[in-house]
Amino acid sequence: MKRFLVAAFVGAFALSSVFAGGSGEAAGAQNTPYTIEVGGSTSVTPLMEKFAEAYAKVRPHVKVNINPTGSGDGIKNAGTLYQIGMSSRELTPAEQGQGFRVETVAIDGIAVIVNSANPVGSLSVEQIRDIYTGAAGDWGQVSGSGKSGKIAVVSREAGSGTRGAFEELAGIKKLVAGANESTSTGAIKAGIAQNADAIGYISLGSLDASVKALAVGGVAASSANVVNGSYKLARPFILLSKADAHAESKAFLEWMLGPEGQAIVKTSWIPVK
Amino acid sequence: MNRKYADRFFQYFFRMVSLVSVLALGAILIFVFAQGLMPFVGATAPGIRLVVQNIGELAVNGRVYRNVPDSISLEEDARFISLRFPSGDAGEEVVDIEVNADERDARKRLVFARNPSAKVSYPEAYVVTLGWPGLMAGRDRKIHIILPEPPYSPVEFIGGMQWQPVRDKVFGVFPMIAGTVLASLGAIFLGVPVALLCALFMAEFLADRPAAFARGAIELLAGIPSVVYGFFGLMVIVPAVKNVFGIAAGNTLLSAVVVLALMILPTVITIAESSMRAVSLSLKEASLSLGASKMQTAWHITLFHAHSGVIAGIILGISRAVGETMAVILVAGNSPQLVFSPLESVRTLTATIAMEMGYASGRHSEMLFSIGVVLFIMILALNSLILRLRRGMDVV
Repeated sequence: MKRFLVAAFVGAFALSSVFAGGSGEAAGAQNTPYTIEVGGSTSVTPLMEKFAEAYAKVRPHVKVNINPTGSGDGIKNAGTLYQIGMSSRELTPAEQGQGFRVETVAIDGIAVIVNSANPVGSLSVEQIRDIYTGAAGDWGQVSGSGKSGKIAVVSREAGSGTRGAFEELAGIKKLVAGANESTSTGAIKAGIAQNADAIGYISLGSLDASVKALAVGGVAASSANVVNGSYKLARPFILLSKADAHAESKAFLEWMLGPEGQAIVKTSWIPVK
Repeated sequence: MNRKYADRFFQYFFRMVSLVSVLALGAILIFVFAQGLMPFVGATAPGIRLVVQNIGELAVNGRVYRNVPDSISLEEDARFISLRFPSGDAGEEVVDIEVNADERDARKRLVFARNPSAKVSYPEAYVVTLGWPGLMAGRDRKIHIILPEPPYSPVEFIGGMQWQPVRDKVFGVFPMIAGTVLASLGAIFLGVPVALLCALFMAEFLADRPAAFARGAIELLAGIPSVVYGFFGLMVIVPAVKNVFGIAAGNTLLSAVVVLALMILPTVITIAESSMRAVSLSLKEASLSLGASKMQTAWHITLFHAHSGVIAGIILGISRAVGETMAVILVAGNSPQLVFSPLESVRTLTATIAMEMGYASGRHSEMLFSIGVVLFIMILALNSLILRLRRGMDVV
């Protein structure tokens, strides 16, 4: 019995190696399987997942591994752990000067969201700044639509690309004490969907019917308004790589910046080309 | 003969396995401590670093760069920065800066010799940016002067009230230490009495079959991932707290305490109950035969003689409450402020690490390891305190 089992195993190994060898040869020399490691911003991840899905049809032998860790990590480890790093904010001065190839792959608006039951429909940038710095703590101070009550301010954690871009665009120097900090777009949406007094902000590409997006300065939050420049809250999605990256990862980068990739960007974000 | 070799083999095998696990633990500790102590022993860089954007040719302190690298490091003891680069048709931009290395205030450390032609801005602490309009739109010419951050004072770290890690680079963790202590204590005070009464009921009063069923259900509760508790808290407890107390947001210390109390219940109940079951039957029978009621026996005999297991359960409960991360992040609101009321948003040490690790860079990331060291020391102190208490009780 034992001898039979051993023989069966050896046979199976031999067969599988024959088959593996066969398929390797059929694929040809330039199509050796390759895995591109991509990592960084959680905001860019939904877009990158769509890229990876579509690219699997274009070049089936290339696998794209996505590590949603955060913009800081994506920038820090671009060119080392990740062939392509993702960031949803501009690089800080200290992060620049490391010889990165920096490419903006898409533009993303930041939607300011409130509960669907909230009658407030529009805020100016100054009012948003007042709410987030604590100068205005009550809906009665900003709404003009009869809503009153304390505002529950929801922000993202320190270092988040979305928060960095939002604070820079709205001119917020220091977040009001007591503001809630959530780690993800999903948690912010869930929190605001069940709190009529809350205000928060998320990527425009992640907006859905569970919450209401405010117009900023009278301009509705939409891709069209970001493109024509009238909606001011927008930030770039950045991809970082090093010059000595593998040919396959360079090809993937070019594909994302090319017409096919930009067509995918168009589904929920704003293309750059 | 064979037996002897097998025994010897297993002896070495066990030694190897324990050696490897001890080494792995040691390596983790050394790694966390080495990272976490970094901000307190040295500056972030030996000297000033320049980051140049969209400027083709630049002279720094007399040295001309034809092909400007992204990053230029100055000498450690550079007392001045002199920048010159051609601009426009025949013009030249000149900036002369004196470096006041002894100046504590980072903003005053650079003294401009005369009004520089550049727009000077301070985008974040320890960074000074000189900007000129670009030769092409959107290609602004910029020189960022990045000053080294001096070693951070451990006193300001532990006792500091402000956590502004990105722009101001202020790292005070006292509010988070207080948050962790308050949330865990609250959970213990709310959860442990409930858990002990529940365990006593199951061990003493419930019939065998329903008790076995209840035990299975409670063990199942212990296996539920913490993020599920967190979402339950976010969907049920947070709105309830908001509506009951009429506050703007229900993400508060109170919500965190309730969720943590729920989470430690299964641990404390399971361990306390099994130690109550282990109390010798002869003790209970002696109590009953002396005329004590069933309730008196449960209270004075079972609970008292099971105290060692009860304390073990509480220790595990505290460890779970202090170390819990995901559930707390979802319900506590995570505002790094010192709380004076259970209806304010609070942040714990573990939440800070989990929330910011992915985004942090430079000193901020090392500071998160320092928080790990603080957490480690807190749990060590807590465990040794409880062990001492337990030894005191064993003597009785």
